[in-house]
Amino acid sequence: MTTLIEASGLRKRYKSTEALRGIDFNIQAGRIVGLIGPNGAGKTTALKAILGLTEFEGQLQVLGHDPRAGREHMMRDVCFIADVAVLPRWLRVQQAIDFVGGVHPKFDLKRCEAFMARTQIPRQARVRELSKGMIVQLHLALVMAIDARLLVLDEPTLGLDLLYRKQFYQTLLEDYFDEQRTILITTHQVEEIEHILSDVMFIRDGRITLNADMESLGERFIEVMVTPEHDQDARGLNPLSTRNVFGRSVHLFDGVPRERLQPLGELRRPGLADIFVATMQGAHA
Amino acid sequence: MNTFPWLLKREYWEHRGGFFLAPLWTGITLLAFTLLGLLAGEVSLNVRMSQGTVTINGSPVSIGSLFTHTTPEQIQQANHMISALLLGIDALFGMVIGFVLFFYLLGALYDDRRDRSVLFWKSMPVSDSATVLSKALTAIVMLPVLAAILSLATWLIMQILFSVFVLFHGGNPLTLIWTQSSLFTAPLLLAAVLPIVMLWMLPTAGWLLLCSAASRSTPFLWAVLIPILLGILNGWIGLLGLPHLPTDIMWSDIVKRMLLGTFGSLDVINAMQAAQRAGGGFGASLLAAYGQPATWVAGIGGVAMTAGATILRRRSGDL
Repeated sequence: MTTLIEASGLRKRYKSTEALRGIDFNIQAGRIVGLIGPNGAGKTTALKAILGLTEFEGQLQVLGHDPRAGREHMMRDVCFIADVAVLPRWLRVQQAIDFVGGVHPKFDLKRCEAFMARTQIPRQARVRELSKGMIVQLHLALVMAIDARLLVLDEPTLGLDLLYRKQFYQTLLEDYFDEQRTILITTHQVEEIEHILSDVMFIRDGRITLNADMESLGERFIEVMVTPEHDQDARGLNPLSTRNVFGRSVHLFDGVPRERLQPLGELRRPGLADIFVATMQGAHA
Repeated sequence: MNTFPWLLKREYWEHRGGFFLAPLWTGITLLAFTLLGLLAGEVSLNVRMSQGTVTINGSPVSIGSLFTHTTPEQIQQANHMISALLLGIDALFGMVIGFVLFFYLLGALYDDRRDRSVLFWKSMPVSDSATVLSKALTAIVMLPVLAAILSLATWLIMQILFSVFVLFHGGNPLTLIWTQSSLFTAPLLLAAVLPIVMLWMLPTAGWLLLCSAASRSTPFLWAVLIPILLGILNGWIGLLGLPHLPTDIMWSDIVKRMLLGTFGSLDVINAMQAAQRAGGGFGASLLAAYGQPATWVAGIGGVAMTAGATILRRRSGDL
């Protein structure tokens, strides 16, 4: 397995705040990694560092390049969608396709046309005349036609309705992703990407607080719907969080062996959102 | 893979209105006025002919023979008119293009940061230096060449209109217009001043690109205020009797070159005409225009500021 991104001691200071406080992580090829954290935790800063859009301190290698130098070489193998609103509003759809085809050596026009054929986007329209959903469809058609090794998505579906959001991730998974490619994604809509992720990183206050693949996450975090008589025992095991559902308490445990939890009640695999909320408690305090 | 032409195309797509439609309508308007002028002349001539009062050099002429008896002096005059007309047309195009370029350069590295589309452009494997170079070349080379071509086209069409007019009035357009020497020398003059127009534009282009890359908001204000305040400050220091640049050099060689270089074609042609009137030939006036050391120093400054804009552009994705 090859390592696509290697970061160590990655640090970024803005004038008054420290957005990244020396983080280390590796991202392997063929994974779909979710970078998840509350607002202002440093997600976007981390992505910007990876994409060579900002200065930083520390070591960072993306596909063997330092993103700060030789960025244009790195960008042959890296694509990104920052958010819905970045396609130039004056650009015509056909011009966007022509331009990317003209400057990107790994752009496959046939693939792009195939994606475009599934949409209702008029070719001569300007981007500003398209709906938000169409803009993101266009951007996705452009990006998916590029044979890149790393795709970075920063809140790609912000402001889209449910149908477009579903379609976005479905297309990405069915028509784009394979073991040669790697996707790094940030979003607040944790539930929507949970099932497509292979790895997850939580980031809080400029630090990585959790970095695991989804399988080990399922072993590490266990939710127990505790029967009332075992409630005291459960609290004794120091649950990460506790909530009440229909009069019964549900505890979320981090790293407590399954055998010890089994007698307390009904075990469940917690959702990523529950783990996120539990580990981020007090983040906005 | 040669991506550079696509970057130039991109600039044209975004600014088609300013780059193409504005000069095109300038040309069309000029031609329309020329036609109106000729028609008005025709009508007033006819009115006066019917009253039998039109004389040329003391001898009455008929409407059909207005141009039949042309003297060598008149042909000489026509020759001057032909060349002066081209310079006049070019000056008008230069003015339109000057405004277009000023605002194009100010927005070139700013507009896409304001609407965040810089993040799209930066997702392509294109270097920042190629991006800045494509914008600088568009302003410094492509637009002046386009203006010159449109000037020539407008001017040629005008000659055709004049030819028809002459023909209607018994003249021979071949001797009066199409075999005149200025028909060939005037376009040469235009081509010869093109490089100096570009050279004059360098400092302004560099300065405006730098402001465009540096401003977080209102690049126009920074671009205009800083040179003018520098000029005023220099004058004020002078009033205090402290060491300062001579005020005329400050204003004409620094402030003006930073701000008005996109209108270079007006200045260059003025300067050359003045030199020619003063008795210098075509070559001498050209040499005078190219030979000013300040032009070259300012040009180098412009290149340096463009390089500065490139460095700033690297950070432009950090919105």
